[in-house]
Amino acid sequence: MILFDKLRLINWHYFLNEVVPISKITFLTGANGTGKSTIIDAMQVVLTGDPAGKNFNKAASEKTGRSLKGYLYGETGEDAEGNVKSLRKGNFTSYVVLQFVEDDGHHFSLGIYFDCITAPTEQHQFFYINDAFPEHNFTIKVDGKDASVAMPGKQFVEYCKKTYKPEDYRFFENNIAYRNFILGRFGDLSEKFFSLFKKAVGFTPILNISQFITEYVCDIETHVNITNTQTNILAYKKLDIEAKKMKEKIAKLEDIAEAYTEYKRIKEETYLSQYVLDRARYEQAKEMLESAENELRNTRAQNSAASEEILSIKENIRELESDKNDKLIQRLKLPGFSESMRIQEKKNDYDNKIAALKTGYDVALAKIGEYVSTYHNLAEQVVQAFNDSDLNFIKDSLKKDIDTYKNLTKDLLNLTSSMNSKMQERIVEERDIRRLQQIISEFSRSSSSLYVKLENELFLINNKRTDVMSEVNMLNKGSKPFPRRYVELKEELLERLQENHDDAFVDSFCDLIDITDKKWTRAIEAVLYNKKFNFFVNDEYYEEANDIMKELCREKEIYSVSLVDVVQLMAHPTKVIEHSLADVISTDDEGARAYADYTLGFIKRCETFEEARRSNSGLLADCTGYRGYSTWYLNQKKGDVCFIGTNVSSEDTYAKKQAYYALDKEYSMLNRVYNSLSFTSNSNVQLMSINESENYIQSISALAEVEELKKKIDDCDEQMNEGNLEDISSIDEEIENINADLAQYQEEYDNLIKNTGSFDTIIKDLEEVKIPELRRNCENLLKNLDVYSQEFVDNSGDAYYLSFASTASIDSIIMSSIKKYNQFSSRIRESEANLKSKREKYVTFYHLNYQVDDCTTNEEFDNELHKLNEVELPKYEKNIKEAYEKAINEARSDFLHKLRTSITEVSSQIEKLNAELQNIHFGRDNYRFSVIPNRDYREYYDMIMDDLVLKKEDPEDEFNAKYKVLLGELIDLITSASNETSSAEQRAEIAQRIDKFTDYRTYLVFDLFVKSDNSGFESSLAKTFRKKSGGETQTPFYISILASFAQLYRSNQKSNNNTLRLVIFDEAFSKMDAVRIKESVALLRNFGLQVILSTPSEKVSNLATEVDTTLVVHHNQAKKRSYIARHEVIEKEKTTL
Amino acid sequence: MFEEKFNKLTNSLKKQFTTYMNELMFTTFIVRKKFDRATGISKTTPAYLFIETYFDIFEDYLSYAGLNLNKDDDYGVIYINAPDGENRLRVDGVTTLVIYALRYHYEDMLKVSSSQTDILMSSTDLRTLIHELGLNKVNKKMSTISMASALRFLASHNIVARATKTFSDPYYTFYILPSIRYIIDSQQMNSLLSEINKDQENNEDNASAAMNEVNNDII
Repeated sequence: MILFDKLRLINWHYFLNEVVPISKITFLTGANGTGKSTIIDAMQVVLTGDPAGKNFNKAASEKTGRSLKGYLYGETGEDAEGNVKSLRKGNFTSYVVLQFVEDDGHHFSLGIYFDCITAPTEQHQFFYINDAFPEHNFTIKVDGKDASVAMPGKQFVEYCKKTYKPEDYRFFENNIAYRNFILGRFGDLSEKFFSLFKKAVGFTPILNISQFITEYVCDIETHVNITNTQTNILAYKKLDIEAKKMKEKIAKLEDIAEAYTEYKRIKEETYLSQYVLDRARYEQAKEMLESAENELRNTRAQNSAASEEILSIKENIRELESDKNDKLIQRLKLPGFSESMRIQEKKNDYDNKIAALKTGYDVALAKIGEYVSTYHNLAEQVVQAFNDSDLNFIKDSLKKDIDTYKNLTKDLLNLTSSMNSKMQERIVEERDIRRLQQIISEFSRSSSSLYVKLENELFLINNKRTDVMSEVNMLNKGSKPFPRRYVELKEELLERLQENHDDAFVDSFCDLIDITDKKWTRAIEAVLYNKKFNFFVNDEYYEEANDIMKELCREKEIYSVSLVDVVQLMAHPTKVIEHSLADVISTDDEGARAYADYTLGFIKRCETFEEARRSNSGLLADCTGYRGYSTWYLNQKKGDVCFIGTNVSSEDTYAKKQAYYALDKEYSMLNRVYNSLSFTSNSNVQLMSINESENYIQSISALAEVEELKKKIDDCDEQMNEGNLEDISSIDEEIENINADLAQYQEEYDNLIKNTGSFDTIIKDLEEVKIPELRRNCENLLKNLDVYSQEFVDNSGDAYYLSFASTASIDSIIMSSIKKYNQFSSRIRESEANLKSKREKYVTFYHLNYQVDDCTTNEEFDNELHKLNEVELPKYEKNIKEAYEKAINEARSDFLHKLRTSITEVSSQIEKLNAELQNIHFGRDNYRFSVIPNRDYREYYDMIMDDLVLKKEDPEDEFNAKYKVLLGELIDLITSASNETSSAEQRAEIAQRIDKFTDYRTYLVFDLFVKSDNSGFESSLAKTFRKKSGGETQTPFYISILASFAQLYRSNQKSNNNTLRLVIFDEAFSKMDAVRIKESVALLRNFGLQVILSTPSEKVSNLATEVDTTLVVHHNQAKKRSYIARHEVIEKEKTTL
Repeated sequence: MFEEKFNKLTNSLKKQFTTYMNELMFTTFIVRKKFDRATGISKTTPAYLFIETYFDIFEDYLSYAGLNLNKDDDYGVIYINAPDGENRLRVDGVTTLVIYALRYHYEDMLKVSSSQTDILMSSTDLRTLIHELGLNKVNKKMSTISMASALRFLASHNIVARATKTFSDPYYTFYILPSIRYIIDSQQMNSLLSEINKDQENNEDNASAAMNEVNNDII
């Protein structure tokens, strides 16, 4: 056993020169601030070999303000300027030396000197003397003075060299060497001595058993360093993220490739249909050319046949002509022939003249009759039309024109009636004709002018009528005249909502409300404008409906319709002002009510502008008003069509229908009149010109000459009857017969000539115009086909065309190709835009300068896709796999292994401690620590403790098979996916989890069991903590610490037990009462430990009687010096150094 | 007590405390392991981790409201209950019967594999079980739709966790979580059983009314 025997302090803060005796159980007391902890800190420097003073005054607070420099120079505080005030200045030396005694009475000393020559640095050296303190007690006399000062370090070294054998003293080159030395000198203690000793000095009982065990009992790093594991996992996760990004990129590129394929397909289709169209046109032209050429050939053949026939007929005629000439010569040779011929000629001449005059008269009369009957009919029609129609609605100016026109028509009618009767009697007179001509032209002129005027009027009425009719149609159907797109939107929204929810509904705002005061209808319609079309859906499907609407609105390009959020609206009710527009709205629907209040509740119904202006938000029924300090004009047309109303009003429908009927009647009457005048635009109705009428007058008056001519013919007949002319008659008869034959031939000849003429025309037309034109057309169309490559035609074009041609006519091919071409060309625009937009997005997103607009190729994008798909991604996937395996292996061999080591170590240490505690009793109690797996993390615990973790080689991959999922989860918990994207909270949570899962204590549950000898019943301290007082719960912890020391110092061993026994508790037993303190001190003795206890003076009465020595620390404020004295003998003064 | 401990937490931990306290108050039950549909494996829930770590702070906080925070280390369930029993949620007849069936199945399966804490069940299994137990006769409202709605409610309280498909699908699977043991205790289970038997004997139409009387521990 090695006991701490004496303490020497020189120039240590307030202590200038102290030699302090130490007993087995020493009690250090004194008022606050006298220097108890200063003494303990001095002892600690030597006992732990740590002059840096990290542990100084640990009991006072966690963050101690004390430093080695402060102790050496005796710093007492700071003045007002912040300068440090010190007790010592200049060159001096400080000593802290501890003297120990062994069982055989042999002494040895351990100490440290500090040469403070140049502030602020000091030079220190630990030393060992295999003897008691030297006689000079580390001081030297100052020359010529009675006082003595601390021996400077160099001088002390010299002294040792002179005085001791080399093996009996040692100065240590560094702190580590010293520390190693003292462990050996104190009886081969373990490294744990330093940490346990330091912790014991500042020990304050704590409630957390786990913390206590790991901090005071076991000497194990609580947290496992997982930097390597984390680095590997992060590398894997980064790769994983990269791969995901790459996959996204690939998906985008594939999308582009797909769009490009689609574009190309449509383009090919377009190209094909264009080819088919061009080809069909060419084939059509070719066919037409061929048929024209056929026609030419046929016509030529017919022409030549006709020419041959003409030649033969010509021959026949020639023969007949010569026969006829023979007969004529024969007749001329007969007597009386010439006289007869002369009379006959005269008579013929008269006959002809009479015939001509009669014909002239008849023609004139017929022509006039035509005019009369035509205009008579027209006039009758017009009169009838006017009589049938009531044209009172016509404007006055037009009415006047109509009256004039009516009179004119009546005149015309009278004239034609009288002329009709005169013509039947053939007594038409010259003035009648003149009058007729005059009135016809006047009638015609007036008709034209009226016709134009009526046409205008008719157009206006018709427009009005069509408008009214369309409204009537909508009303008739029982629906409001909503735009078609709006109705489609509503139907589609409803349909899609109902796909998921049977009970879904979609209502239009205007269908839900009624206007109670019709006067305001137009104003409200205008104010609400687009809002009245807004939809109401089930509250619970509102967000879903929003998603659908978003899509539909884009698709249909309707942006004026919204979804009303009834829930929010009801949650924030609107304050409705008095006499607001909302007052005249009635509805059963709560949501619609709230929306009406929200949209109209702030607008006041006003009668005058003044009133509106006063209200600052007022509207008049005529759609004008005042709002927001400015006038307010609403477009009245917005209210033309009434949408608001739960039902279509029957009054509205009736009124509209009536209006329509009236307009329709007006229209039909006017149309009747208009139609009766339509002859003005008819070219068949001719006007009689003045010249024409003069001709007719002449023809009619010439009829008087007929009678005279008739008399002359009678005279000729008489002259003829006077001579014999029989022979002549027979020859004449023969000649007549020949003439008849000739006429027949002539007719045939004429026909043929006519035919050949038309053949010539046809041939000429075909040869010179049609065929060249068709040929040119055909060549042009053939040229069009040149743009298609031969390869295309051979491979697809031709076959495609023929597949059509085999089933359909060329016309229908052309028609369908045009249709297809049009369809495809619109689709090609769409798909081109689609492709470009996808490329654009991609290029912008990844900052590339690829060609976006060139749709002929997709090479750049395809190349990248290929590169990513074939090269990069497989590479990444390989790397990911490797990185993952590496991470898992690292986690197993590093992270899990470390945890396992810690858990095993703590278990074994606790086992040893329990062995120690088994022999120690406090009163009747006996203590035992327990460590068991934490059930919350049992599966991790099992994994950590599985022997597979230890296996260096795992060819079967057993560990992975068993724990892959679990380890993966654990890894997930302690690594964040990406530091760039995670939020501060996420990072904090991860940090907290790392802290948790790298701490082996997480996987364990610690407890301290108290077993009472009497009952044999063990109770868990963890569970009783809350119920017991502080003092009560302190004991087990003191006992545990003491047990740890006992274990460390091997105090219970029979041999190999020449060890240090020292334990120092600063501020000990703070919460214990007198009884417990007494029991505790008794226990200390039982442990066979040497203890220095420091407590404030109030515990003196409890402790003084129990301990071997009580040391009291005093402080003289005036001298700024502290002293240590034994309790019994307090020396008044000590000699000054 | 609470304030002292709470103030020692860092700001981010305070925020997490708020988040998880809200989750706990909303769901009543927090389970250690829950099926994660994205990865297809059961994962430790962050809420459980956090509450387990700062259990005493949560406990203190809830104690002000007269609520107890409990933890079952073996099955991994953290749940709130009100010892005075005032603020309990009454669930409808169908949900009560579904809970009964789920608990029945859970205990049944646990007999076979005691190491498991969550039990996979399919919609078909559930329908069959309900027929076997005759629960469809007890409450006429028992239908695929009402069962799905009951499961949705239970999923929101961490009593079940959806595994594949949605509850609207004809076929779906879900995990019964160990919290089923605390939504209804054995005593309530027994009284429920006797009610059900009585109803089946009497074959009364108003059986569902009796079912409504059974309270569950959801607050």
